[in-house]
Amino acid sequence: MRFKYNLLFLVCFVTNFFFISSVNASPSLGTPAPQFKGIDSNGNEVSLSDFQGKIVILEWTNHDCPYVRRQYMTGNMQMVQVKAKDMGVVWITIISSAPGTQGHVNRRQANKLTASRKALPSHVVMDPSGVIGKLYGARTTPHMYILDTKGTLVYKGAIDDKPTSWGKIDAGTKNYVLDALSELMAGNRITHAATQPYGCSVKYGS
Amino acid sequence: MNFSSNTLAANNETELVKAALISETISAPKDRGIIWVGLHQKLQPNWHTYWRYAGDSGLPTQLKWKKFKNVEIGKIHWPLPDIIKVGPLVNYGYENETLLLIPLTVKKKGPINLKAVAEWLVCREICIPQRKVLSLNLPAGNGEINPVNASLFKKFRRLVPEELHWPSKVFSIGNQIKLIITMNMDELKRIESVHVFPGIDGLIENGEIQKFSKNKRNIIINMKAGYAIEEGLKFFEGMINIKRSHNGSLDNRSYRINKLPLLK
Repeated sequence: MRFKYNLLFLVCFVTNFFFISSVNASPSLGTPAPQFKGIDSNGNEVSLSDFQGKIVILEWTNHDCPYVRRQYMTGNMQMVQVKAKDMGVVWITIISSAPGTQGHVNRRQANKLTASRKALPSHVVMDPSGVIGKLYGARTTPHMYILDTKGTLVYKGAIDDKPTSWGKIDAGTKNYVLDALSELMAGNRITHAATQPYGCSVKYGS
Repeated sequence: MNFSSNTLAANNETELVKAALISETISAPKDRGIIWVGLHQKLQPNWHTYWRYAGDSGLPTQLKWKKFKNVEIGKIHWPLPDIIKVGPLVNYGYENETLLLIPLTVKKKGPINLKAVAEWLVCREICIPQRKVLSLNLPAGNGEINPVNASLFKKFRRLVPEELHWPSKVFSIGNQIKLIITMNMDELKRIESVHVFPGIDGLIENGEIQKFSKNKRNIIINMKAGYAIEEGLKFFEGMINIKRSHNGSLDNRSYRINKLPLLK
């Protein structure tokens, strides 16, 4: 029953966005972040509009990508999630790996990953068609976006300034997402609002 | 906890990329001067490593040298990369084989012993980070060309960009970047195709079509501007590859575009 409902929903969803096939439609900073709806790892519908009035972080992920692995195995991504949660931020992890590609998981596996990594996303949104990823021009894992309380895109890019999959996160690492969050909370301009994302390519099917 | 074992596992798959430091000469030069060495990578089919700007994803190959007092180790001279499409994403990198060329300025005669840690990301659909400690030892000698490596150096040196020597301008108009290069009629006639490789992320949309045209004096390339332009980037940096007809065959040359100011 639920499966049928989801399938129907997915079909509507895909046809709505049928004409967006390029990943290059990267939304501009300072403009309203594109609206999207998706199904999360608990089978619930998640709509960006549900979170009006809150800061939202979007995190593109693929648990088998070495860059993502480093972030989670060192506990760095979880540390950012804890701090974001303390600030009342909504954290949406998005998986855009197409079926049969690296990082593609079902909902149960997604929840298991969250538990085993002690991650703290508010939602894990399943995006196997890549529609949401392409809407945001997501190209790497990790690739991070921050939306302010009005739903305006205020940050897009890397998690930090050390594009590597090796070793610990050293003390000199600048975490762009944390920096942007604290500047946003303080009402200041974000110093590095657009950075080069690094990592594996998002495994879109086409 | 799994971290170290996973990185080790990645390290054991080095046969995906056979890498070595090689030299164009058999020995160190008799006097001071420049000789060339290179990081040679041979890849399994369909796998690739990356150019100095990797494109929409990926990471460039890196070399961390151990200092050697008799020589000054130059920067990598990157040969023309392949354009590699991964779904809707575009990467710039090397399939099959590449040679990243490095000039050595020899300041004092005698044998040369080089050591470097090479790090690269090798991807097909999935990506595997690899690293390898490499060394190269050249005995004292006359710096004769190594016949085994000569053709490889010759082949890849031809693919390294020269300085762009024609007058050129670049405009930022709306969401377009327009590069104009002025040439004489004879040169213009021979040009068959061009392709621009951006050197910085967000300069252009890598996946968008580049529109190429010619008029009586110029070649004109229109590209879609990337996010860095929106963010106020003031210059263009990258490379242009030009294919020209030359005595019935196609001459393939690349030219470096150094920090060209973006005009409005």
